[in-house]
Amino acid sequence: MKPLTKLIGVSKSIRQTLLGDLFTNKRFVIGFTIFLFIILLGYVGSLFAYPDPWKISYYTPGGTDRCTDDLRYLPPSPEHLLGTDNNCRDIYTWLVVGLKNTIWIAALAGVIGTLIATVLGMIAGYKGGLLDDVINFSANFMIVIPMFIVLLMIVGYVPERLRTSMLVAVVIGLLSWPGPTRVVRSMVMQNKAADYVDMAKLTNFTSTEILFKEILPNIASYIFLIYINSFSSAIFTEVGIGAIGFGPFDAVTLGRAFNAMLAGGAITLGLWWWFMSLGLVVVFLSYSLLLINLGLQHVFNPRLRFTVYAV
Amino acid sequence: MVSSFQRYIINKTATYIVLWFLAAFLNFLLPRIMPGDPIGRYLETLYNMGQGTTGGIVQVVPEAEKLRQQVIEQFGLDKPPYTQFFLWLINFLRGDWGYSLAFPNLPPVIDLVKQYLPPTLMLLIPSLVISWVVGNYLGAYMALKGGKVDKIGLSSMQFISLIPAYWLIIVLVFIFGVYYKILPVSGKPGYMIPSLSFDYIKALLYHWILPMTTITLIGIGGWSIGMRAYVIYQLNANYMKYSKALGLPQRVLGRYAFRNAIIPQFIAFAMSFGGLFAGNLLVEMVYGYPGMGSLLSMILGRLDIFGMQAIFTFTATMILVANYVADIMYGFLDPRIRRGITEVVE
Repeated sequence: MKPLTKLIGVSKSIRQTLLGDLFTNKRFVIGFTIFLFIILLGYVGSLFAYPDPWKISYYTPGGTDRCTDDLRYLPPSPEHLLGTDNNCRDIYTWLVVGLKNTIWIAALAGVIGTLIATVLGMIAGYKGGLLDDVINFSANFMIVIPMFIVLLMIVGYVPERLRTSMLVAVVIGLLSWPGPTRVVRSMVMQNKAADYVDMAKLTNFTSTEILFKEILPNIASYIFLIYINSFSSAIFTEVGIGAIGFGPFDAVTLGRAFNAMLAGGAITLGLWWWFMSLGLVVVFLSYSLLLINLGLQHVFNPRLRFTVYAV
Repeated sequence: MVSSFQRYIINKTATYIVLWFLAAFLNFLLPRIMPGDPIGRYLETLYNMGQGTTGGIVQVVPEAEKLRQQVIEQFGLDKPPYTQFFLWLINFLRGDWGYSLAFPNLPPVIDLVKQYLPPTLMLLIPSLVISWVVGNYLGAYMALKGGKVDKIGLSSMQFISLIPAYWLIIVLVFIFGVYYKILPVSGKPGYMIPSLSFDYIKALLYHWILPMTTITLIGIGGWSIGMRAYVIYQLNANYMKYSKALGLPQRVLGRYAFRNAIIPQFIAFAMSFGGLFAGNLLVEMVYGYPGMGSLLSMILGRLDIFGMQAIFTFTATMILVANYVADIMYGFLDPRIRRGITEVVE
């Protein structure tokens, strides 16, 4: 069976206006610009960074392996854009490498969380009955218990050598489905009552077909919003657990860089460029994602554009 | 005859009891299925105390295996899992929360909690109240004013609410502690022993200002965004259009909107306790404030399974109670549920 949209034939111009709306939406444009800038900082910026974040100072020609006091806590300079830390390592390199790794961890965690939420939410919302009760109850249960504490508990028990970026990403993802599941579930329930689903039923669609060919395309834009949300909160989570020393142990991440900054005594020594650079990257990254999310919401849901400001 | 509201309460009570059992079971299970060797870690701590060296005692000393068996027997870890679970559960309810492996002298976990919980509550409760009140007023003000005030206010509040608390406190410590030198750079009140003496409380208050400011500021951001949305929703409601058509003054309309919008915020107030508790842990760990966050970081770092089990269960209990209160309040505040006119829609 062909999807109904194909049978009826929706004109292409809808897609074009959507893109047009998107790039005239101020929030989206600002958010997207900041986001792009930060991604570029990670990828283009790493061209200006040293290849190995662990290597002790490159300041002297050839680089030494010994950390002497005159190489410690250097202020920003052309050689070390953000100076060096207590172990004579280049802070800028840690920032860009950490940024890249954190983005990957958060992206993966977001995919896992959103995928679980979509599947569970669609089953619960469409099938109803006992399955719905079980899924809904577990989601509510997980929402009541703060996931951050459960996460701490899990990563706290895992020995350092087993705490890889992959593991952290998977754990964050596995713990982030409850809220999104409820959103997907309620959206599917709304859509289930819509006329087009009745029509699909009359056309003899199976429930799998209805779910994947009819309802899923309709809620896909919202699932994308959910993904951006999960991505953003996964960044927060990674940096949070990393900052207190429970982040991935096999790679430099933003959380690890935070931890190194705290351990290196950046605050008491007044090395503001160190903690400001790390914090501002995290803040602007999540702010840009919020702006993108709000912008997309307005474009996806034209009703918002008229009601919210119609006071 | 049971009224609808009574049925609502009974329903909720039963649900929360089941939830509590599940949470307790999860807290019991997780430490036992995780890799890692808590007993070995404890023995290492003991050994290092005596020898001043690090690492590897468990493999090196032949008596270690015997000692380990002894410790396992003493803590009842050789009993079947379900016996362990129920023993632990009964003891937990009685107030016997086991002994913490994080410290060589094995202090009772409940004593640790008694010592570290008050500073945390001292931080959480005032900050929750202040940020709730201020945030709600700001949010309502933004929504009622509209226009530029609303636009600028909303974006700045969104920005504030996105700042990680553990970073904001670093910035504040830098400004007030390092640059102006008027507030302490660390949350630890010197080397004083935690007690209820006047001096200690004074020192604690001095170290309380910065974390308090941090979580209050960020809280205001979140509350005002929520309140603004609720007030706008009320302003668009039909009763509001009707009242406007009747010619009621703007001030009265604003009051109507505020009163209706505040109800969900009351519920959110009780519900936010859990999230705030978790978020606050990081602030405490970063600043070294002697609260539950600091206790938890010590316990996590040393793989203290008894401490973790007890503290996580205690935390879950507190959060569940807060949510339970919120649910009951919801039934109480909404007259439709209280009078049994409508069933509660989940």
